[in-house]
Parts: sequence; structure tokens; C-alpha cells
Amino acid sequence: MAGRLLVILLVPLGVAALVFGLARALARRGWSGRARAARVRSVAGGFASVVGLLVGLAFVTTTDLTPASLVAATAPALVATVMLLASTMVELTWPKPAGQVRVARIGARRPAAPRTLGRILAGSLAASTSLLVAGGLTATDDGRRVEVAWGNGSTSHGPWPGWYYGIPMGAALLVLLAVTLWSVRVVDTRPALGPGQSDVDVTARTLSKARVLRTACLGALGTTAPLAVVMGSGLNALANNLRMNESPLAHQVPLDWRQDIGFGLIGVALVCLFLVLVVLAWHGPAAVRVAEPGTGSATSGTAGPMPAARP
Amino acid sequence: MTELDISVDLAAAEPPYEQVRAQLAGYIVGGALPEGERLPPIRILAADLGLATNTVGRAYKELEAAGLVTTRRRTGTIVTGRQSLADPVLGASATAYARSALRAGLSESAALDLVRAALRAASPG
Repeated sequence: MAGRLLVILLVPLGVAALVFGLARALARRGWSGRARAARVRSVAGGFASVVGLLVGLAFVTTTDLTPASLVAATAPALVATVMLLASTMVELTWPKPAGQVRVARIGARRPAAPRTLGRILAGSLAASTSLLVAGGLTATDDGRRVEVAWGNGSTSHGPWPGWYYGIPMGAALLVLLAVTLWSVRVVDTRPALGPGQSDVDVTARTLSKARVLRTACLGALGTTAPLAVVMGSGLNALANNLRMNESPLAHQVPLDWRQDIGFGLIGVALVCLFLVLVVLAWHGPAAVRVAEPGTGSATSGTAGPMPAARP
Repeated sequence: MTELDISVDLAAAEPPYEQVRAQLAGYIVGGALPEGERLPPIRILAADLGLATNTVGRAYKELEAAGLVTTRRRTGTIVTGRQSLADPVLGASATAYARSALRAGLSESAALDLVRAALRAASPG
């Protein structure tokens, strides 16, 4: 028992030491003090996201929780949540002002919010919530099918995410949203690097926020796309069943509204997949003016002062 | 708005909240922070200076009590008005003294100590 506890305590410490050691080794040289410490944490945040991804994937692929379909349905949001928690743990170690004399710049901080990612996240969460509510309201009592009955008690049905899936998936998305808001707040309120390094600070803050939003977007889109595929194929199966059973409720293609909505939902899934590519390709601030630490002089940088560590 | 800095010397005799208050009041009275300008949120300024939020909060509260700023739940802390200097000559004298003190190599707290001592010596009774 004691040995197991020791392992539980030592493994995270070992992983944290590895993450910071790697980040320290990879952070470019030529920086010192808080700028270097911030640089190390910026890189470490990326590594922590990867560790979170591996831990999350290991959990959902090896867990013996049943039913497995519920674990699969909530996996994208849960894995993204674990990634966000890991990278935000690193953010919490961001270097704080030290020394006898501290200087801060007053005035509003320049905006550091990647709006495209924010819009994709909001749109994706709105879409998944709408689909979950629509699925819940139209599913059968067991929450796993959509069914149409007619005439002499005959029925046709298709697979459908009702409340059986909707409640856990909604809860997973809610947790993802809460952790995302917390992570953004941690990035927003972390100490600035100081008046001489405001450009570096803005860039580092933008990259950190982009990492948070990118991870959240992948979790939300990864939930929305399969949901839309399942609902779309469920409606297609229902429409086909109705036609095969020669139901009076069946419609003929292309005027079969059930099948049209089904194809529309498959289209939604394709849009989600395209947005996943957009999120992965989002490059952050392409060219920033970088104040060299300690000098306060500004030089033009094209590669960005902080490595854009991606989750 | 030009970029304005606030510095806090933890070793100074003045407590940190008073240093923050005095500098902000100076910027407001001197016009560097115009009416309607938003001050940084307490939490953010405290984080940037490495101080407790209560310390910066106390400075803001005293500025509010002096009528220099107002705090609203939605908009944050806003500069409400610039108290006019009693005598424009005093402002010029203060600027001249600050320049002399810097030239002489005095630290901020030492320069303020001299002013306090002069004020005490000049006060009647």
C-alpha cells in the first residue's frame, strides 16, 4: 500500500521534472532572468499538453468502465480537459516579480485573444449543445434510438443519441468549458514580464491563450463531429427503413426530409473536420516586435520569441 | 495614453499601498491619467507588482475616498476627475524638486522623507 502511494506521488513529480528539464534544454539561449523562466514555462506548457494527451488517451483506451460507448462519446472532451489541466498547472508556475523594487505598467493590456479560435470554440459548443438537446427531445425512452410508428403498430428506427448519451456528453462539455474559462483566466491574470519586455509578454500570453483555446476547440469539435455523424446516419437509416417497410410515412428521395436532414448533419461533421484542420494550422502571431530582454530595445522578429508549442 | 509605470520599493519606509496610492494620485492630479481612464484591475496590478491584492485594494480604496477614482462592478476602477492643484506654482516646484533629487542621486523614498521632514518642520505647532 505504502509502495503504491509512493509511486503515485513520485510518478507525477518525475514527469514534471522531465517536462521542465526538456523545456529548459530546448528553450533558446541568450535570455536571462524572468524572460528565460517564462520561455521555459512556455515550452513546458506544450510538453505538459502532450503528457496530458497521453494520460487522457491511456485512460480512455485502458479503462474498464462500461458501457464503452459512453466512454468513447465523452473521450474527446475528457482528453482535452486533462490536457488543459496539465498545461494550466505549468501556467501556475509562471515567474512572479521578485526583488526589492518592482515595476508594473498601468493601462490596459493589449488584447491577446485569438478571436478565430474563440469563435470556433463558441460555435462548436453551440452546435453540440443544440444537437444534444435535439437528440434528447426526439429519442425513444431508452435514449438510444429514434423511432417512428405507424398504422398497425409497425415501427422503424435508427441509432440516435438521446439523453442516455446526451447527459454525460453535456456534462463532459460543461467540464471542458469550465476548465477552459479557468485556464484563460489564469493566463490573463498571470504577472506581466515587466515594462521592458511588454512585447515578449504579449506574445507569450497570446501563445498560451491560443494553446488553451486550441485544445478546447479540438475537444469540442471532436465531440460535435461524431455526434453529427451518428445523428445523420441514424436519420438515413430510419428513412431507408421506412421506405423498405413501405410505410405510409416514408418519402421518396430527394423529397425525404429525414434523409435531407441526415445528409445535412453529415455536412456538419465535415465542416467540423475542416475546422479541426484550421485549428491545427493556426499559427499564432506571425511577426512580432520583440524587445530584447534587459535592453528595452525593439527588434523585428519573424519567428516569434516563444516556440509555439502545440498541444 | 502614454505608458505609465508604477514602482514599489519593498525596502522603503513607506508601506507598498501608500507608494501605489501616491503614484496613481500623482498621475491623476498631474493629468497623466485623464478622466474616464480605466485603472488596471486590482488583481492584475497586484500580480504584476508581486503584491497581495489587499495591498493594491487598499490603495484603490483610498483613491476612491479622495474622490479621484470610482469603482463600479461592471466597468472597474475609473478616474473620475482631476483635483486641481491648489497653486500651479506648487506643481512646478514639486517637479523641480523631483529633478534635483534625481540629479543628486537620492532614492525615491529618501526624497519623500526630505519632503515629509520639511512639512513637519513647517507645520505650525
